Amino acid sequence: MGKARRSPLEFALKYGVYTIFVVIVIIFGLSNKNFLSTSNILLLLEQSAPIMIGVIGMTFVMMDGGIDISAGSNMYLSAAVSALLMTRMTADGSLITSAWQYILFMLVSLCVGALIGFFNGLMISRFRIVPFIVTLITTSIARGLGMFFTDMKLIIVNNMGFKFNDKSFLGISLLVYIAVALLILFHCVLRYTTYGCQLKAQGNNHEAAQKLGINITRNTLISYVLCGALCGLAGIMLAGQSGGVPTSLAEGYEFIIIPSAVLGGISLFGGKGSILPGCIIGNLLINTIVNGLTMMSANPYVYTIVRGVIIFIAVMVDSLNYKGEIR
Amino acid sequence: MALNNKASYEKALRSIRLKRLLSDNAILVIWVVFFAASLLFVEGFASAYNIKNYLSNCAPLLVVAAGLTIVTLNGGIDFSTTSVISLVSTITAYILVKTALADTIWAIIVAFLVGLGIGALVGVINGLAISGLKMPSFVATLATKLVFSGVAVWFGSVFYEKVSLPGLPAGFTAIGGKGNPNYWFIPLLIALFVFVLIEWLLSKTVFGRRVYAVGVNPRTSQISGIPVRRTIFFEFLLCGLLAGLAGLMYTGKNRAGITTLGDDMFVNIVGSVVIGGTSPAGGFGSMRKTLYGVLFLTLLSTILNLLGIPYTLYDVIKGVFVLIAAGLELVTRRMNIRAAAKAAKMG
Amino acid sequence: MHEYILEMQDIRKSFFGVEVLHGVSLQFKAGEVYGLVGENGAGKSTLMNIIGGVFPADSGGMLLNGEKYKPVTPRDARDARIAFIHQELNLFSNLTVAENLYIDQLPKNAIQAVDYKHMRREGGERLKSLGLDISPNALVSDLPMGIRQTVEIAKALLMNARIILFDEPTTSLSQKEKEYLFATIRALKESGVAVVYISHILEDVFELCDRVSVLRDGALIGTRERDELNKDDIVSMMVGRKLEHAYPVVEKEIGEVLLTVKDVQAPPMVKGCSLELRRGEVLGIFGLMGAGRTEFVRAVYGIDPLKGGSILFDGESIQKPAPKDCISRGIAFISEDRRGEGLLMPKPVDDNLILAKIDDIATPMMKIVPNAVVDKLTDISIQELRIRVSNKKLQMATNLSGGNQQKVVVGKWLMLEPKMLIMDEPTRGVDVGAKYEIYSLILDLAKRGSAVLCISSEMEELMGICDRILIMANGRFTGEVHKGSFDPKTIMNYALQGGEENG
Repeated sequence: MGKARRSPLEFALKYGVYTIFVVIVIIFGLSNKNFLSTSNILLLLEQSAPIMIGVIGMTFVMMDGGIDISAGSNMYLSAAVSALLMTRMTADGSLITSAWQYILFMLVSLCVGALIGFFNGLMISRFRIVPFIVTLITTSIARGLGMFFTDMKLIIVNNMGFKFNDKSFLGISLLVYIAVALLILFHCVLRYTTYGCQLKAQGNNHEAAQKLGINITRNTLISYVLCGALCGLAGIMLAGQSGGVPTSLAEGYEFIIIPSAVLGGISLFGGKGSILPGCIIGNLLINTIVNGLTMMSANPYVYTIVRGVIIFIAVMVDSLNYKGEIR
Repeated sequence: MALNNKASYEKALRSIRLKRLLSDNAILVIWVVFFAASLLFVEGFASAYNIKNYLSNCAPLLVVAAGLTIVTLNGGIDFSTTSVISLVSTITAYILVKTALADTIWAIIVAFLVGLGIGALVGVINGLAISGLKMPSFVATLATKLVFSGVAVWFGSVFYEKVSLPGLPAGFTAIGGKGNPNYWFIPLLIALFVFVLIEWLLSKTVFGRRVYAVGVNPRTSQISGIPVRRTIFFEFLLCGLLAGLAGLMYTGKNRAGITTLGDDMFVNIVGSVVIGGTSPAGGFGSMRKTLYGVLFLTLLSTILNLLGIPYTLYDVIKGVFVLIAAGLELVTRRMNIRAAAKAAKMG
Repeated sequence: MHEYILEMQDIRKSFFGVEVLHGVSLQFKAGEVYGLVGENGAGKSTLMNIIGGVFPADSGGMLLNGEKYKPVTPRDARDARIAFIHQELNLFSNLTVAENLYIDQLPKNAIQAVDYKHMRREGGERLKSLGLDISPNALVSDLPMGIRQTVEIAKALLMNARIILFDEPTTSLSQKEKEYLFATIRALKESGVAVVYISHILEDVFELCDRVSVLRDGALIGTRERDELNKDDIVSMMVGRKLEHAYPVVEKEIGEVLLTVKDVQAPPMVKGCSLELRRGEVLGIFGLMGAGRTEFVRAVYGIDPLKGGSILFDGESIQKPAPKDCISRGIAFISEDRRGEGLLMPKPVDDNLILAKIDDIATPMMKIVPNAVVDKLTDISIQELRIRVSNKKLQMATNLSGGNQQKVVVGKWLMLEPKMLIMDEPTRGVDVGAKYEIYSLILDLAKRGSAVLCISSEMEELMGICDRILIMANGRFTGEVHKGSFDPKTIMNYALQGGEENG
């Protein structure tokens, strides 16, 4: 037998993304001379960083064959709760300056996210409700709660001293360092821990994993908690980046995160892909397109359409490779 | 001994039937209780105006939920229904108000046809993507949702001055029960017709049996001669068509074309189906259950509104109900299977 | 050292309030192969699952080397060095062989990271020491099925198990692989491992086992030592009555040619097959695992793509076969995968029985399915096939025993009165009593003038019911034998031909 033939589509998916990436960079680079400027590239990286952290979380969920549609709302609620705490703590007019305070607020946001993830994971792993229904519902629950807590008001975090735009090292934003550190950390978690290896296995065949004594319920739960926690962290980073928490923070970001993962080679059907380089390439591609369209000053409504088309194509290629049942 | 066995077997059967009757109609019972309680305790509920309003809120929701029921029975989902509603609203209002046809009967006819046509078009795209390209429905329809809601907003931004376009003729708004106080029953009639049609389709026809079979096991179905792909395709086509019809009804009801009309509706739509007791994993459920779900969820909205609960919490509360219902559906179905196993051993 | 390595004392287990094991006591010795036989639903698998920690017993206890043994999870069993080889493969096709070998106990290096190097090196060495020529870096999805089974067995051997449970391990093995497995089991026995072997194939059990116990309806019926083994005795213990005839005798006439298949190709498994099938004839296809039997019939029925050749059925040529088209021409197909492709498991019996018939009974214009007709037809079917079901609307296919499930599948197709019935392993996992009834149904159908094409890996079964047997090897038909001149040796020789040609 030896090596089975890889389908041309699989080949296209594996290297096609890189090709498309290069082609798009060239097109945008030629049509706008600012596109390839250092400042724009750094901006692009900074913009991608929080979302990339979300993609890491989504990778764990998708590795198990699940999906988390609530990613965007999770970011919002986590950031909102953390920002509300900030307003309480700065009520006396003090500013957030110390690193410890930053860490505290990021941890709060992370914990809120983890809690939402725990709820998702519990419903999915214990009560066996299909993931897209559960996370769809938590999407609206989380955003509703966030709007309720904040009274539908925009909370400005910049004025309280919480901002990331002025935090950089060697000219590169702190956010990028955080993202890179997490990428490496979770790449190792997925590849070099028992949890990671068994997650990949169970994503391929749940029944067999169960028979081997792999605790699939626990692994699924951990994946959703991880995804939630990382989204929570990404949420507060987005807030610090954009200066505040509007009710529309991260709205629809799941539609960037999921196709980013799929484009990065992480299959919606579970058990396939890795964090490095998967999480980077897909996300950079999508952000490059959005960034490029902005620079070409396209009609902003077109973004939604473009995103939809990207998801459609990415998933189509993923599905054509999959030989299973249709739903 | 044998007699004793027989008696206990009969008893087990009776208890299964009773349990099933209860679990099948649980939401209806809860709805009756909620409704009665609202009549007594919620101020402003027991008025002709409010009840009329309640029913006319149920009508278009039932139509779009009917389509989703069919898709859900196959374990699929159609996120794009909301974008169909938005797009239908945007385009039909444009036809009715801004084209050369405006103010003629032709405008209304064309608007109807275009509305249904948009629904059918989105349904065909979804159907082809899912049955032909084997894409999972939850992402395929997410993608089409993004595209078509994007198209709606873009269309509005180019051809409207604002996000909405009012001034629709009464001949059109009748489909949403507006334009004349006597029109209020029209959407109810449409909803009733859709309900009867889909209930009949699912429970009495070959298509219905195919939907359930494919929802449980597509491979067994294929080998038993069921055209699996065609069945799935028609499910999504029907879902799109019904969403198109609902889009016309909602547009009429609002007496305006609104580019984001469907945006916040999805929790209501999927919630109606799931709360009614149709399994999101496919194969189990019915149109009747969706009717209960629509009645209950709309009642919940009405009560929340009358009680002055903050708007932001509506979806939170509804969401909790949906998740509880989804959990209960699984538990009761497992119980039914166990009870049947027990009875089988006795018989 | 205790006399018995594992003792089970008065094990009881209930599911949903129904007791399926009524106090079973068994003792296993180290260095012994212990056979466990019984009809489906006798409780063998339940018993093994209790030892393997898949679920706990309700009462009774187990002693492992004289010490209390109470596994709660499969992990507990593994820690006690008890390996369990399941009927189905438990491999992950997206992982490498080495990863699969170690997945439930991944080795760690100095910094507590999963040690891939160690897995590759050790795994590779162990595979080699077992005489397996598999690269530890190969992806399981790239391996053929037979090799995958040996990986599964290697996994059990890798943990130095002192007790190994085999639950029907040979269902997907070729003769060669089976012999290799048996040699391995004997070697294990020599090294002092206790082996528990469950199988429907009595010949294998007799060849391999030192002691054999028979279970029936959740109770231990009897145990026989190797020198007192006797087939009739065991079979009558299994079914609780003496089996008069294993195969029904039906007088029937063979008519004109119904199906002509010429040079059918379905790469990579089917490399050009031709056959003729007559009305009233029961034609068997025998072949070893991987010969392409299943792939051949699936291509003819249109489940898998057909890549060449011609099919002439009832005077009409079938260009591009598809299940729906085949059914409308009068061809029926029973898949080897009953749960996955034969039944709607969580649906009631009547829905299952009527599934293929709904188009026929529907009204022509509106396509309405009349419920009264469904009721009548399913009642008749349940009666005629003697399907043991107490309430066809409330009982799901999941709730039935293997034999009754298969009768539902057969009933579904008999309702169409097919001109030709294709069956792939029609009695796999079916108990002895139900087997006889299914054979009768098949032969009655042939008597009414239909043709039957039957695939089986049980040679005896084919010799019992077929008028003619075609033997397949390496994607081609290599021989043909007629009733009256059936001879196991001839058939096996034909079946081995293709392999030699290839090797």
